[in-house]
Amino acid sequence: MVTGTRTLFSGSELESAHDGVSSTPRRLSDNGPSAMMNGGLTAHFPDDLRDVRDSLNGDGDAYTRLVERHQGRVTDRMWRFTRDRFQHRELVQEVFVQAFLSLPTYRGDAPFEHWIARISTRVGYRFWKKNERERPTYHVPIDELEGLATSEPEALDPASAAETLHNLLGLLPPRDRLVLVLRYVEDRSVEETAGLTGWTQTMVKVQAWRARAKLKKLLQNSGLEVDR
Amino acid sequence: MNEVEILRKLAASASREAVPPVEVSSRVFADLVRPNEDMSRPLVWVAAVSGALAAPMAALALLTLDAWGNPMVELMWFLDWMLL
Repeated sequence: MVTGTRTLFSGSELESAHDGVSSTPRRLSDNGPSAMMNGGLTAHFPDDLRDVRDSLNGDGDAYTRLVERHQGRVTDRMWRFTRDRFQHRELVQEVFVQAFLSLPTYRGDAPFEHWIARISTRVGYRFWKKNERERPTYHVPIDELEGLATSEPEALDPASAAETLHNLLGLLPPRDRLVLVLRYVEDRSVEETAGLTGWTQTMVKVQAWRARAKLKKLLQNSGLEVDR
Repeated sequence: MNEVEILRKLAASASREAVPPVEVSSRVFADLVRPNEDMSRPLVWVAAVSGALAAPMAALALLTLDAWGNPMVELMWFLDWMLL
């Protein structure tokens, strides 16, 4: 199945590292920039390099290991793109299929996790674009938003908050939605957002500004008081 | 609250949500094999159409041959008639 024979990495790069894959439900907060800062995303880098190389040499088990190692974070990420369990599983699967097909383009100069995050973002964005016609069926969740100012995040039910957030962002076109998710929901920098979307940093800033203005207008039109 | 604060507050709470676990490693490979089947499908159709067209052509050829008799004998008769 895998026919690539390109040698990507030297043997010295392929040091062993521990494998901490967990199949238990994980929290979205494990997936943010903080995890990247503390090295959580790069802990498997040597294993990833070896498995990418072996996958390209036709070792199917190596790609299975890559999938098993990264599907937790991809699962978390794709949950932001849909809250339908069937679609969610399809999206996660699509990410790894696309990653496999693009594997020869992985240069190994950045962690595999970062590379697959870009693919996840692209797959999710395409999914939103494909389902854009469903957008008008959403409505501003006024009831859920009204009490927000006075309550602490810890006091909110996580699933309800995630549902409200999903519905609120679902009112916006995919480009606006994507930039708001990356910049303000995942709390990524302009540089990171540009890296994930393939946009320039200026484009990210402009798109974020426009998206914020659209969201603000939507909220105001629904009768919600929004500060400057 | 402004629109970003609303997003951040909802996101802070939503980050505590337990995401349903997904296991896709076996399905990924099933999906990766499928494009190969898709690629071979047009060839299967070409083979089927060729076969379907070849069968009546073979039958027609047999009928013509049968009606014509032995082409060599017919040819010899023709040459014989021309020469004599």
